[in-house]
Amino acid sequence: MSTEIYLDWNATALIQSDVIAHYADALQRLDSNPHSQHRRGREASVAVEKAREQIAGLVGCQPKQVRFTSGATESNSWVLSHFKSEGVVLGSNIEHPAVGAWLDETIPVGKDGLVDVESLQLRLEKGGVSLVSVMAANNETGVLQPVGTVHKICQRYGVPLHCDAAQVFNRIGWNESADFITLSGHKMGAPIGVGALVLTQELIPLLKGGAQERGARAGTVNAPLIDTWGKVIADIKPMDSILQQELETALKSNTSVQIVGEGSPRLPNTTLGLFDVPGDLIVMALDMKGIAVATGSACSSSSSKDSFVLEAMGMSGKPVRFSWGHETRLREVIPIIIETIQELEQTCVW
Amino acid sequence: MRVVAAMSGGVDSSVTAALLLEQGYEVIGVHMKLHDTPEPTLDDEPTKTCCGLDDVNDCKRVAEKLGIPFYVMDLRQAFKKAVQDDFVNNYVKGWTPNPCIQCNGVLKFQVLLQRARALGADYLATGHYAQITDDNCLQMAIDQQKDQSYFLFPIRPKVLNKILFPLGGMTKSEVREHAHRLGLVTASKPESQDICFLPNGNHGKFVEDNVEDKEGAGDIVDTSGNVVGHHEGYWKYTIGQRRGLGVAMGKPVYVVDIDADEKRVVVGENDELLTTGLVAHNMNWFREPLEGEPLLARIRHRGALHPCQIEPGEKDGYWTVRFDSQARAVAPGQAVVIYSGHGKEDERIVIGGGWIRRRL
Repeated sequence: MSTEIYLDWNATALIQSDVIAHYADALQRLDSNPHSQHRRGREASVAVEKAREQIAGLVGCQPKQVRFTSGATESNSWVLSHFKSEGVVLGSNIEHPAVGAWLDETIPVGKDGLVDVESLQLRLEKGGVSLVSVMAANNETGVLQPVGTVHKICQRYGVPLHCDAAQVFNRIGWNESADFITLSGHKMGAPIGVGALVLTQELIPLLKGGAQERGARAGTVNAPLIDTWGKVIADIKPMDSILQQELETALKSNTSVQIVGEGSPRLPNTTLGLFDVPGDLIVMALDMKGIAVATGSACSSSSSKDSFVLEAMGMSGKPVRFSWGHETRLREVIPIIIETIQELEQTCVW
Repeated sequence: MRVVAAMSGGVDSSVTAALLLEQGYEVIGVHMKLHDTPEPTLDDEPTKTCCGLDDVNDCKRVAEKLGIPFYVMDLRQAFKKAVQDDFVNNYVKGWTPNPCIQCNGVLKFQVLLQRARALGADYLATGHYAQITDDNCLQMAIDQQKDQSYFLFPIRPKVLNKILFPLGGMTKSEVREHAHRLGLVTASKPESQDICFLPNGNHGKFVEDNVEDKEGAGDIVDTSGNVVGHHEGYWKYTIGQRRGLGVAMGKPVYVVDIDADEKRVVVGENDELLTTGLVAHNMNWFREPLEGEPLLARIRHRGALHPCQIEPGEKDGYWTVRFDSQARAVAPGQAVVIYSGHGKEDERIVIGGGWIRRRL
């Protein structure tokens, strides 16, 4: 079944047709190994370095600090595996599993979905922490974390901060600072398979072999993919929250919705709602009407685990996540969303 | 007409979905995620149970082939409460539970049915081998080797007209032929065995892992009360069990009783397993037995149909079933299903069923 309206942007952003055209062209144009000495190799190399500069511009760092990876999970594994050998790696208890899997200890979030900076401070006071990892925006709730404040605290204790910023770009203008920043191509609208880690110090390589990426990350550099990501970055822009307000107002006036993280600073493209109806049913009913939404994180293939993010916020239930991009025709399906949820709410007592 | 087809990832439910589609229904495939049995890895035997990732992938491939929407429904909480906890509680009482029947009664034909209707479905279809007649009676399957009517007794009578069993009028080999004809990936998949949440069939370990008081060890005694051995947990035993008792009495002995209070397993000879009847509770009646209607009781899946008489028991909801001749190894916790003796031998109608409380 073809999906007409796609509201699962936080799982992966749809690739726009101009990006697809660019990628197809790049596959032909940049068909060589960027480390080859010949002309074609040089062309590929130039494209990669241009994209590197774009990413540096995006996060405000030197191009040499940017290292390309296969995606956010690799970037996270790389930095966390390095620091795990040096002491306790500490992170919020709502980190994406690609970070959460590495954490030795966690810092709680409040009911508002924001990391508790006092707990962080108390823990850092005790010592032994080699790295703190706090995400820029939570993938399920869209709640923006106080990364700047966290960074200042970390600096006070001389502990580096890693920030998984996979979800923020092309949604808001994000200019917080951290010592390590994870970026993801496909969450911005590039094809899946490319990401980056921004460094302030060299790390033990995760992938060993060739001398690519200043000896930090072995493996043939994927020039067409990186070049296409650069094309996406050139066009990114912040979103406003008008559609989010429209959706949430409609949900609140017509359904049993509880908006998760409502009072907190949030991404303008994300609404996580809890309803009196189990979220998975809403996902199915909307899918049958050609509207793709999610129950939360897509990052568990077989086990549709209950949301640990909700649990961390002291809530329970199966939520529904609506997340969209710039071109998404959300407004026109709001009535269908409302009608579908109302129908389910009226069918049965759950 | 919209129908939700429950898809396990096996050949039966795949063909169920395919046949309904051919019959002109709008079909939605749904796989019930019931528990967290880990995904099979290279170290595991080929899939013997359901709910693994392989099964979901097979469902998706079948759904893709048929061009129908397919969803995984997370029903783990309901399953844990209604089936797994009940399973453990039964063994703790010294009974022998039947989780598949419990799953049918609660998960499939209550929870899933309710959800199917919420999705706008007119019917819920499963790949069970049983039939629902035009006058809304639950009847045995055509294929007597596969008949699953015994497992379906807890279906509430008022929802029978919302349920479809498209395979009830087919033999298993016909089902496989259909699957091959349609090129379904599940066509040659082996039958699922065992209990789905016990991949290695070890119920004793599951009970031990989930019971509060893990001290189940005690004596094995004969019917006169003499201690003849020792066991590591009475919940590992089942009425009628012969193997693995570890007692040498110079003659074949069987488990004839399990006394949970004393943590004793009672063994005796085959004769001591015979009984003239049983008391059942939580009966579900599709209809009242008719005046003078011959009745047949089945006390295990595909077991003999014992001619019997039934009467309301001493307590509300309890019934006494008296066999015309003796039946063997009646186990509390198992089901007794009452069929009408009218009509042809292979077209028996289920008139009701319940859970065995004790033997007479």
